[in-house]
Amino acid sequence: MIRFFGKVLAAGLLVTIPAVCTAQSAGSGQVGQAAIPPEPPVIETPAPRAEEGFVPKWKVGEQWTLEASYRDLRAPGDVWMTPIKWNFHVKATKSIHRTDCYVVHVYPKKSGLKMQAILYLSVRELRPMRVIEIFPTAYGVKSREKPVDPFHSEPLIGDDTLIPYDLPVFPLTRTILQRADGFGAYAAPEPKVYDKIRKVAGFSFKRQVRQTDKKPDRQHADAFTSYRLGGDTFQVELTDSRTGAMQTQLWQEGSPWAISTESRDRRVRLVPPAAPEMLPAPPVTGDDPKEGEE
Amino acid sequence: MINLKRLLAIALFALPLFAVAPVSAEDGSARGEIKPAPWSGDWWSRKRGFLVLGWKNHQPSPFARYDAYVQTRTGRNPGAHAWESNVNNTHYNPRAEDWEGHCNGWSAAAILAPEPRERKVRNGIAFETSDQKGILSELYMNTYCMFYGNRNWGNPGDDPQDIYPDEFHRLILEYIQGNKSAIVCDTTPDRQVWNYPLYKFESSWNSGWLDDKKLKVKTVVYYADDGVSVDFLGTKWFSTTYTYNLFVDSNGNITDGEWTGQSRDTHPDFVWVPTGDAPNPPNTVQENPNLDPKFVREIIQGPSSLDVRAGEPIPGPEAVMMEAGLNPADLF
Repeated sequence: MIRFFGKVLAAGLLVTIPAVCTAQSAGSGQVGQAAIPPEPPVIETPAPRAEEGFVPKWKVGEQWTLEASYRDLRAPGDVWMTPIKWNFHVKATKSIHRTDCYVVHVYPKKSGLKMQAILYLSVRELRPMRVIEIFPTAYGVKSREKPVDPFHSEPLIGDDTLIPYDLPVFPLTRTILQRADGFGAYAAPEPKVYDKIRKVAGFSFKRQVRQTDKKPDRQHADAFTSYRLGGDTFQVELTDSRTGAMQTQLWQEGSPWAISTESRDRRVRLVPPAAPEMLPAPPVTGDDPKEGEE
Repeated sequence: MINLKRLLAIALFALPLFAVAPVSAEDGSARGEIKPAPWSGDWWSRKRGFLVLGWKNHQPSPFARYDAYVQTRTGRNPGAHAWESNVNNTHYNPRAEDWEGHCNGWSAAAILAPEPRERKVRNGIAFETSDQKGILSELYMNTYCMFYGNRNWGNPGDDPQDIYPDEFHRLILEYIQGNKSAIVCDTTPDRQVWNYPLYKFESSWNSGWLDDKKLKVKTVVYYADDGVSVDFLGTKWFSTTYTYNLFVDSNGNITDGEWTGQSRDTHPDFVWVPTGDAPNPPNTVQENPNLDPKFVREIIQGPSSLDVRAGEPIPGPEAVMMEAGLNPADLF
């Protein structure tokens, strides 16, 4: 009988001990060499048909540039930092968790900024399967694998990086209602709510993000003119339910990335392929260009 | 036998208590430390103006030395001292408030740049470690950074409880325990700003018997201090204890938080993490525009003594050798 009690209590403790230890042991090994996590079981998800919405399509070797400005929220007034140009380069396609993925290398055009990202995004719906970030320290450069759950659908939001790789959940859709007269009309957009889970050192922090896909507001009409793409357009609003922070992205079919992203502290625009550079004149202080300048 | 039956009953009663424990983050602890720690240095008060006036037994001032060096390299005075001395640029102002200074520049420099630990002589001009720290503190006045929370300007509507403790807890785990970077906290929640690099923490928590949806957390944090003499080397630190509750949903996810006890009034206002030097935004006076990162690197990095005459550009490959601590003149 005593032996039985022992087994019962031991089983209870075994259930409990991993839960207690998790927060203390996790976190180690997060910095340094980025290893591919073990393959989880394959989960079948129905493939969206082309007519179900918009998912950007890329080719290996394709490149584009985003120009990002950052507001200095420490400073009084409306101070915006000198923009940084980020190059996005589709280096390859690879299979991650038995899913075909684009491998996208993101790096600043100015080499002095030692921040980069390597994104593995599913070809089918640009779902993040793996994210590696490279960042500077006083004593060299480090890399870190950002924890992502490839089978949990949520927008990709870079909370802890300057690199503007934020992505909504694809495909983007604009609900069309068939009216009695046979013409279509846009329905009022219904936000989709996603749990944004951030696992850090054994803790799990949850926020909710509302994603609303809709027809672009009239005020954004001019934003599309530089790109001359002619495809369907989308306005995507991503709102953090806790803080109310919102970013607005404008997408257009035929464009590799959002042509514009705006939030309270960040403005990002896709540099049109042949457009003239629109950067402000750099301050003249020496012979060499500084960070962020071209 | 009766005792055994009682024991069995107790065990069967207690077992569900073990089994329904939250998935993670129950009673436990966490700690983290960035090594080497950010270095301590003066915060270069705007009122005292050490950067342009120098101090007792230290003349010329750091910026006068900088201008002199650049003049030997380019043949012209870059005007860093003149710009810094101009009270209209607000970096030196005898009427500035006592707390105004370069603490943000020092904080970023202490995180992003190795500590200057030896005297450097460039073209015959000596730069003590204090000169180097002062110049670095100005160079990093303007940085690209990640920003968390909202600065309290003392305006109606500013939330005195921001930054929220669930976000603060995530940041110390993400950056410090994740061995990524020290973070900078404005340690006062009111409109004053006192920036200090947070580089170490020790955190412990328990959920209590009656409310397993609330984690009661005590976190001791360690800040690098700027209350040191200008020639101080190493890290002087001070510690502060914060207490807060984290709210946990039925799946063990942290969804909210509240500062508790004295921490309601003494928690950080906002957090930022510098990621790199940035040029001065147009039409602003945040940073001395006449300070060139290229010449600062020439001063800070490389061997203790170097003589590069005017008009002689340092070629690229040799600049890299200098960054590696090698003196091209010794090797070729």
